[in-house]
Amino acid sequence: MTPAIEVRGLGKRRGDRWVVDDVGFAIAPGEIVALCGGNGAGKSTTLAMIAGALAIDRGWVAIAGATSGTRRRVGYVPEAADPPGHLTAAELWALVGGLRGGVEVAAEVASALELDAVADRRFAQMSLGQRRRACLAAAFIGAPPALVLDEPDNGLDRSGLTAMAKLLAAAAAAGAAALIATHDPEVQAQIATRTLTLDRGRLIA
Amino acid sequence: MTVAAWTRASQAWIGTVGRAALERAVPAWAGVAVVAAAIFGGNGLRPHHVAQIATSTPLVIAVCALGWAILLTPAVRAAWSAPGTSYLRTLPGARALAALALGVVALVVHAPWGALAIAASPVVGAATWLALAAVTLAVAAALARITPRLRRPRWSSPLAALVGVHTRAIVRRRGGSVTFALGLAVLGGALGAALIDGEDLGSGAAATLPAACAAVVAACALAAIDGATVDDRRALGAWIAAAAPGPGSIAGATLVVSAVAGIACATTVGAVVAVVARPAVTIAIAIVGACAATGLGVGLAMAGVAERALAVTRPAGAIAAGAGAVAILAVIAIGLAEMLGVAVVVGLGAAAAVGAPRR
Repeated sequence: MTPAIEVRGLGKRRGDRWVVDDVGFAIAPGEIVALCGGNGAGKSTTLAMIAGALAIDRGWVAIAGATSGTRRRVGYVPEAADPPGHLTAAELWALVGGLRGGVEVAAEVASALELDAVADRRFAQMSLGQRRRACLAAAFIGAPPALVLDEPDNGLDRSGLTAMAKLLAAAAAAGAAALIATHDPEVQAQIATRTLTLDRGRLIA
Repeated sequence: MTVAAWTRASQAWIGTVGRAALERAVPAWAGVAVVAAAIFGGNGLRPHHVAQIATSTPLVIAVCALGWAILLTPAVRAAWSAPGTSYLRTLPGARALAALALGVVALVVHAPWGALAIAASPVVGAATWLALAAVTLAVAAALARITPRLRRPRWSSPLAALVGVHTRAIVRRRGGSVTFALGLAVLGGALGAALIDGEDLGSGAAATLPAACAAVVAACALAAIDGATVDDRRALGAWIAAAAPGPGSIAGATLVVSAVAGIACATTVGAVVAVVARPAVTIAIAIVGACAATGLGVGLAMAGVAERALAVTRPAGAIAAGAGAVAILAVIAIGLAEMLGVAVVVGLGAAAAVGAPRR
């Protein structure tokens, strides 16, 4: 079976130091994989390269078997998911949808994340949890085959975590794969089907 | 309240609203100074010529006052709801102190106009100064009551989505840059009309002098507008980079915003020149057309400047320097080659936009 996310020899250099060095793994459709590691282990850098938000210095990434045009196939929540305060959640979703060719956020995703009432509110007027939920909803736009989520649980309350788990389970059942950077043991134990561990830029488990 | 308490409270009010107003007013004054220096420098026209034209032609002074009022209204609006005033409004005597502080600030903001106008005609000048302060205070009060209605957009392409968010960033985060552009364009148009006063309106100079004026105005205005676009691209960097099909569409959106803003700004200059100078219809069309083409060239060039500014730590400085260079080159090209110079500005602008590195 073609992996939903395949990474081989991935590397990122900052100055003369490789902050991500020769990282490789494959995630099958339907898998939810937790990416763990201490601060500065290279989790966010790895995820940003997979999502296309950061240039790759070495190696390659394939999404659903394709190494080109991967951006449109990845739903991404950046680590510092703090959108500009003047935008509304609906406008962020319209931006991501427009960049993906005119798709909209699914109503059930917005409802599951309890965002119906705040979709037209500016991010500056939202709580941290609401902002994270809105960014999470943006990742699901267009039902991408790969979800790359950088600490999506950060700032989420219990109901938010439950909603995220349900959405990820539904996406996995539909054949999507998810790679989640997290420090939360509960996310690793209850949501993820497998765990990868990074240490100083290298995959150790 | 004692006199000492009134004094301290009024100092607190004036300091609070004055700082917010001056943060907006100083760049606007600088923009006018740059445009005025470009217009008055080296072509024989002196401020007292403009004063003579203005006093002999009420339309010129009216349009100048309109442009100045548009330019400085954001400064008074910023003073109206400056950070800290919501607390000051809860203290005793706030209503009178707010009126006093805002009145003083409005007069200070319009002080350059007042100084020039009083020097030209003490009574009329003082009257226009007070009128400008009163009008901008009233407009700022009205604007403070408006709550914008947010519509839910649906963008069907990457270009539309990026242009949509950049436009929102400009209007919502740097709304002052839009009024700055409009005010500068109206003021530049009035001064441009003064420039061609006495010229043979059938000659090439009738269109090229306003076009040179439009180039300076558009470059100054786009320094603010493109700065907002660059800030927005940085703020949305992760989403744009992860979802956009490629750097071409990202740069394309910056180019569209810059070119449209440049054309709008320069066309306004041309339209104001045509309204104030009232040449024959064919000449008026030539003036507006030359200004619009110049605005396109300047807009394209500034898109290239913005693209390069993304790579530096302080993009605002790079954009301001780039705007200065674009304005100078455009004025030289138009000054040397007249209408052919306008075509050169468009060509160089396109080359700068296409040649900029994509990020």
